[in-house]
Amino acid sequence: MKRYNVLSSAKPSSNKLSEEQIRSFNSKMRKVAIQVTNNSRRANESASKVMLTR
Amino acid sequence: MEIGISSISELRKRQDSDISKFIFENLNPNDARKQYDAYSRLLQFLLPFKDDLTIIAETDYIDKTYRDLYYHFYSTKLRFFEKNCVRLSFFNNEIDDTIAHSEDDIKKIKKNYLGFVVLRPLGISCIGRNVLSPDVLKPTGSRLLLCKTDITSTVMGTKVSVCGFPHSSQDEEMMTCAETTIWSIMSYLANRYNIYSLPLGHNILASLTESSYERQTPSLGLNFQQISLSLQNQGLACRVYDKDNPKFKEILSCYIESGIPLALCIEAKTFGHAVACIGRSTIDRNTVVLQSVVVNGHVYYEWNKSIDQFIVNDDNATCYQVMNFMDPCSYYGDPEWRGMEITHFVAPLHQKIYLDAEIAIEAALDLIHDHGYNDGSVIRTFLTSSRSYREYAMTNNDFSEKQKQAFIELDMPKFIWVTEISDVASFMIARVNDIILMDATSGKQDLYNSIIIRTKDGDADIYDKKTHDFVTLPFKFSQNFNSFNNLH
Repeated sequence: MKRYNVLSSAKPSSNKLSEEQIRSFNSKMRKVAIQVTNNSRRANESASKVMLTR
Repeated sequence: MEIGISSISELRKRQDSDISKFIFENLNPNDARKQYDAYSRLLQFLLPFKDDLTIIAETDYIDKTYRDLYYHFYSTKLRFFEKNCVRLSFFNNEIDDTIAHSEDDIKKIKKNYLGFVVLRPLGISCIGRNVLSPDVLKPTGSRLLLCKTDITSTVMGTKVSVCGFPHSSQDEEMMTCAETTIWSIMSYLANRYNIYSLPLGHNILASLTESSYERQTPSLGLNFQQISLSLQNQGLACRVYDKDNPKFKEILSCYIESGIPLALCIEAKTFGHAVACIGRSTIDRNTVVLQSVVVNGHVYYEWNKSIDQFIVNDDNATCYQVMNFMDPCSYYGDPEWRGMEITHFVAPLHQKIYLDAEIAIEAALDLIHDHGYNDGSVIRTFLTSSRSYREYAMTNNDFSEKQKQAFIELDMPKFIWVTEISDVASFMIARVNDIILMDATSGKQDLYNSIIIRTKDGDADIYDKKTHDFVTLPFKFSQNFNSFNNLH
């Protein structure tokens, strides 16, 4: 049987961010997510009364 | 059924040409006013079409979408309405009135088919369901890049297929622009993905029955929330964005670049309109350098900010209109429709797309900065299915066999966020230097771990599910390869 497995020989990465940088990135993205929630709420609160008819 | 073959130029000449009489006397027998209205409307619809197309008209056509309107609405009226339609099929000029039924003729019909328009017996609202190849249109300066799918039909008993996006005009009574936009998007999705059902007018109204506090027919139109609700009730997971969102245009472009059709809500002071946004026109890639974004003093260029012209299917116009984002209905050429504004859009997403476009765009930008990608890089972020991306990888001659194998072996969800990173010179020729793929099922928690693969300078880091950490592949990735395209 021929097996394909090119991923198995991967080595631990030396290119990833430091743990501190990762925590900072994740923290910033959680803040972006809060902003997304606020944007969503505003979009729905802006409930236009205009009916789309034309 | 009777069949008439003629040319578009013959139809345009006058209302009493043979082909015009054949079509309109069959559509509305003995009703001169409806015949005139329908002829005028069809002429207007055909205005952007090439002059040398051949038309095959088939009478007594039973169209499921019109029959749905007929049985749920028009048959309940006092005045008489026909229940059959006329179907026009379009061909390039290799087909003429000598076409018959030999094996060669059938091959010619299949090869030269450019789509169909169903004419409804509704006078001025005669333009019914139509799917047309963009090749029916006279060439303009820029190419149209569209969400398209193959849709089958028949003509003269032969099965044919056309690649396009469904369009229809509104009938103004049961279906306004809002319902027609929902129909158009659902019709595209149902033809493309078998998890959705083909929509009919009464299904669209039924999807809103429980949330309606007024009668639904005759329709008074829908607001953007009802459009979203209807799409949700038909199996989609919608996101709604409003014009006050700081990334409004960028997110709109991002979804279009992802091949996801959008319902746009456009408002003037006194009325509103809805259209399906289904693509964009090609633009000068040099304009990307006008759209810089600065992160901690580093400058990058975002492709999604560069797009100003989108393609819409508008029920008042011919399919595939070029829309200017800042003046979305300027193609009407009517002062009443100038200066309108896109106030909201509804993105009908697959239910397994969790990571929002806003977060994906922002995350990509931060990762590019934090990982030290070159200043001046062009960033293009979009969503696609892992199936489409793998197919692109397998057919991309710029990728080595090992790279292709890596894309097969990588664990991917049904949908992924892709960020392509290019230097300006590569971007100008639609080439890419690096990529970041992110898991579209990820959420707010530990977003860094949602990276599936990230390449830089030929090194590829992937997420290792055994160690829950990142590992580097022991072979180099291509640093110059063709970009991925969701639009065609």
